[in-house]
Formats: sequence, C-alpha cells, structure tokens
Amino acid sequence: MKTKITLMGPLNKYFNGTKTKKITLSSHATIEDLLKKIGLPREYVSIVAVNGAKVSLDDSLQNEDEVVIYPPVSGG
Amino acid sequence: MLGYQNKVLRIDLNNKANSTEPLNMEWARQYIGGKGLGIKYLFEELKPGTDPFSPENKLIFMAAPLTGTTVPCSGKLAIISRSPATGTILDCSIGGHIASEIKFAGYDAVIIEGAVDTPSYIYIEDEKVEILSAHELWGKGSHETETTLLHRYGKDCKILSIGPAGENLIPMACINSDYYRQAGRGGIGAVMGSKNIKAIVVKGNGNVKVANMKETLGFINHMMHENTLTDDNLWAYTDGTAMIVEMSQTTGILPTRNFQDGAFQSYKNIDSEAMKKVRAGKKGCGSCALGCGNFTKIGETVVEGPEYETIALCASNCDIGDLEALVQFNSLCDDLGLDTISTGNTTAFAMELTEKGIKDFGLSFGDIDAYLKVPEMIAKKQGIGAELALGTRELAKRYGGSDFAMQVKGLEFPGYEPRGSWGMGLAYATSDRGACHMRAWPVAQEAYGDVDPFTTEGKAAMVIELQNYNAVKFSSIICDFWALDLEVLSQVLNAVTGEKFTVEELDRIGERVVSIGRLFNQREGFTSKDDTLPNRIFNDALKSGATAGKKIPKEDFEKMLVQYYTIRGWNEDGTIGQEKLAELQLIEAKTAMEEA
Repeated sequence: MKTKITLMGPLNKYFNGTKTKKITLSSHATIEDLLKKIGLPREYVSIVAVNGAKVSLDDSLQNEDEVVIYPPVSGG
Repeated sequence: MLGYQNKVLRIDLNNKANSTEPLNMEWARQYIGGKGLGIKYLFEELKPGTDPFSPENKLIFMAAPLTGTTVPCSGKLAIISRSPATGTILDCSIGGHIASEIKFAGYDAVIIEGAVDTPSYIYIEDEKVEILSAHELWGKGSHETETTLLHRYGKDCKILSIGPAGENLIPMACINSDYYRQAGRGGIGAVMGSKNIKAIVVKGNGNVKVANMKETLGFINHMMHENTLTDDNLWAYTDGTAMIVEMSQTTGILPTRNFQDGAFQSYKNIDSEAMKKVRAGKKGCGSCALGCGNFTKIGETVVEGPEYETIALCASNCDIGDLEALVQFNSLCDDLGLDTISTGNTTAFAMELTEKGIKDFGLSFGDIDAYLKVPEMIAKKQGIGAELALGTRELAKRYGGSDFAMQVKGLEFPGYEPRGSWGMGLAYATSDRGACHMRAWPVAQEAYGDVDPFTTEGKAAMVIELQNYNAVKFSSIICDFWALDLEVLSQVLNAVTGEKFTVEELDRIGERVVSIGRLFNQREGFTSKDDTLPNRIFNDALKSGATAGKKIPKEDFEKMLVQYYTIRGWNEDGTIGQEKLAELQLIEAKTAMEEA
C-alpha cells in the first residue's frame, strides 16, 4: 500500500533532507513497521499522526494514509 | 566552589549608592544559583507583606556557576522579585547575552533595592557603577532604548530594558534584552518600572574560572557531538517552537477562543510551515548550541518569533488566523514591553466578555483591527487598555466571568489546554508563580507522549518529578530546551565548580527550591484554596478535535491535588510538614516565618 510520510523538524535527516516522501508498505503494516523501514529509532519519535489524528505505534496503516512524525520536544 | 565570582553587587537606589559583598556560599551549596538562590535571597531579605511596587521590594538578577562558561545552553539569567500580578514569589528567565556579561563584570548577582525618584538607568562596568538620568529614554520602546544605549556605550555591552508598559506599572509588563528576549511573566517589568529604572547596561571585562578546565572542555566537546546536537534537541534549531502548533492541534490542546476549544480551524496559517515561508534569519543566546530564535518578516514588520506561546495565546486563542496580524501584535508587545501570554490571554477574555454581553470592550474573536490596537492601549493605559491592563482575574472581579478567566493566582494560562493533558492542569495549579508551563511540563509525556492524558493516575508523581527537575536545572542555569538528565547535569556542575553534586543531591536541591518558593507564598497568605483552576476546566467540555467532550471533573482534580500534597510530604492544607522541612534543611526558614 502507498502512504505519504512527513518527517518534522530534524527528523528529515532520515529522508536525506526531504520532508515528505511516498513510501510503499506491505498491507497491514503498523507504524512500528514504518519506523523500521525508514530506519527511524523509536526514541526519536514523540507523536505519530495519521490523517491528523494521534495514533500508537502498533496501529495499522491503510492505503493512502498521510502520516506525520514528530520528534520529542523539551521545554514548553 | 569555582564557576562563581563570589561577589554580589547591591545597588541602593534610595541613596544612589552601591556596595559589594561575598556571595553566601553556604546558600549556594544548597540552592546552587539562578532560580533557587535568588528565591532564597528574597525569602531571607524581603519582609512579608511587602507591596511589590514599593521601594522595599527587591529586584534580584541572579546568574549561576555555569553562566559565562561555554557549557552549552548556559546563557540565561534568572530575575527574582515579588510579583505585582499575583503577590507570589516570581522568578523569570531571560536569554540573550546579559547573563554572561554580569559574570564577566565580576558578579554572581545584582540586587536592586529601593527606588530613585526620577527616570534613571544603571551603568555597570566591572567595579564602576553609575545611576544616570534616563529622562530622554522614558516613554520610548525597548528597541529604541537599547539602540540608543548601544550607540552610547558600544556594541560590547548588554542591556536590560523596559518599555512603556513597565514604566506604567502594567502587571503584565516584561523586561527585554538583546532586543528580542524577554523575562516575561508576572509583571517583572513593572517592578523595574516602580523603581524608575528604565535600563541596566552591563559591560564585563573579566572571565569565569572553572575548577577543571580539561574536564569541562571535554564535557562540552562530548555533549555537543553526542548529546546536545542530537535529534532530541535539534527541533529547536530547525523549527523553533512554532512546530508545537501542529503538535497541539493534533492532540487537541491548542488554546482556541479563550480556551473554549482545543483545536483551531485556521491553524495552518500560523504553524511552523507558515513561519518558515517568511523566516528571515536565526538567532541564538550566549553559549547556545541550539539557536532556537527565528526572525519572521512580513511587510515592514520584523519580529523574533512568533514563539509558540505567542502563537497560542495571541492567534488561535483570539481566533486570529492571520500571520501578518500576529506578527504585528507580537512586535508591538515586544517593543512596548508586554508579556505576550498574559496580553493575548486577557485580550481573548475581553473578547468573550464582549460577545457574551457581559461587558462591551469593543473586541470580538477574529476582529483584527480592534485586536491590533490592544497592546498600545494596555501599555499606555488608554481607552479599554486601562482596564485590560489589570489582567483576567481583576477584570472578572469587576464584571464577572470568573469561570472563564483563564488564570491561576492571577497569572494567565499559557498555551496548553489542561483538559487535554490533566497533569498540566495540576502543574498550573501548583506552580509557584501562578499558571505556568515552565515549572513542570507534563504535556511532553501526556499529550505528546504515551501517558494517558485523561486520567489522574500517576500525575502527581509526574508533576513533582518535573517540578524538581526544572527547579534544579534553572538554578544551575541550563536552558529549558536542552533535555539533559541529572547525571549529565551533575557531571558539568562538578567539572565547573569542583564540587561533588550527586544525582540524589541535585534532586534534593530541586525539591528544596520548590519548597522555599512554597514557603514564600505561604508566608504571603496563600493556601491550598489558591491551588485551583477556573471552573471552565471542570465544567465545560471541549468542542472539537482530538479532545472533543473532554473536561477535568473537579473531584479528579482534587484527587490529583491531594496526591500531590501527600507525595510531597506536605500537610493536607498544602503547608509543608515539619519532617519534610527538616529533611530539606528548611526548619530555620519556617521558624523565622512563624516568628515574623
């Protein structure tokens, strides 16, 4: 299935400086699977949003999902 | 201990005199510096019941042992006083380069006492201290003031200044530095104005000695490569705080229309992507590895920021989804010397009072023209500004609407909706200076993390841990945006000072700092009744987005509060128990309090 992935802030280094990429995943892939595929360590992820809603790492993705991944932020 | 200059400069404005004394190193061992040591000094020296605007109030500028070294993110200054907005203890934090300059001038702290009777500014160059006329600067914005003084004394000096808001004793006036940095909250700028001090110019020709240079430099090198500049922290460089707009919108905690909602329809106009399109440059503070400052230019208006707090309180909270209007509002607040959090929050409250027909301030949500007139009116007490300047609590006392005056102890809520992050609600209620996100920020673990935001479970312990951590971090002083742990903090403190602070001891110091702030407030008459939230949080459900339907039932809030007091070892009424005082070496402080 095809998904559109956006990496926020410094995380775009995992896309070599590009912010948004289309990634093909196997059906029923989870967020965790996605992170593994793009080589993004779990500890560098705070919020994952799918189609604007926060999800957890074991949630599955669907075709055409738009995913935004945020780094942890300190302070306020 | 090294890192310190072992010298305090005391300026007596009543007699236009100054003196120096050794830093109280016994206190420094217990409180380190910055927030903690500043509160300790004020607790010991200020008579209870002192009017914040009287000459008897003190304004303490407190650096720390790490200040003036090249330790990453060590360039901030603590400013401590009694707040005119709340009457509580007030410590603020300001970036830029002033903190290091005070250390280079040879001081750990500058304590300003009394008041002069005509507008003045203070010039400090090492041992030279002058109190000079500010007649021609009075009434000018902070930016013009700073430019004038830089021309007069040269670009090497660093400046603290107030704008017209501080001069007019507005309880939401801030102190500015380096043009674009603020000590924002609680009316700290008004305290400076009450002393008739327009600016403080500092030039330092000295240096800071550390105990172990090799270890300190090795630590810095290692941290820059392995810790500070890693993905955990670089968000501040790449995006700045504007990225938090998207995070808050996604999780339903973006203040909208005076905290009536947690999601804002027009958020894309004011998020980090919108900011990047008009970014005009970057800026960092002294010894900063992160460079979180971003300049935004729209038309002729240039502003540093807008930072997340400004965006949340002055845009979404006022239903202003127009970036140019926000940038103008931000710029006006900066130059006039107003805290954008309290100004935006109060503006939104006035909008709701108007729309509900309670009191017509001529403001409404989304009305840009009227909104842009507000900062100047507040700073100069003109028109509706004379009343808006009082802040939400006082406005509510006059006209009603206390259920939705979004403040605690008289300090307006910052940019996180507590109904979407219950620990944040507890943090607001128990913060030493009123509603504040800089004492504990549970949002990182709740809304932005894995912890269930909508439960009381574990929240008291979380808030306590975060409060203790921030307290010792802001006493050492390390900037909020470097997420170092206590182990790393102990390493750098020990390398610089030559001391042997353990992680446990640092945690204890953090607890002690929180507690002495609490004792200060107790002494001023604050009780557990003041540790509360406005009824909107308990009674009104949020309307849309990820937190639609959410509120904090009052009994759940009270449960968290009771747990908070219990875990802290405080009494049921929120006062600190004897056993805990002894443990924290605060018995003397409590006894002195009772005898007063």
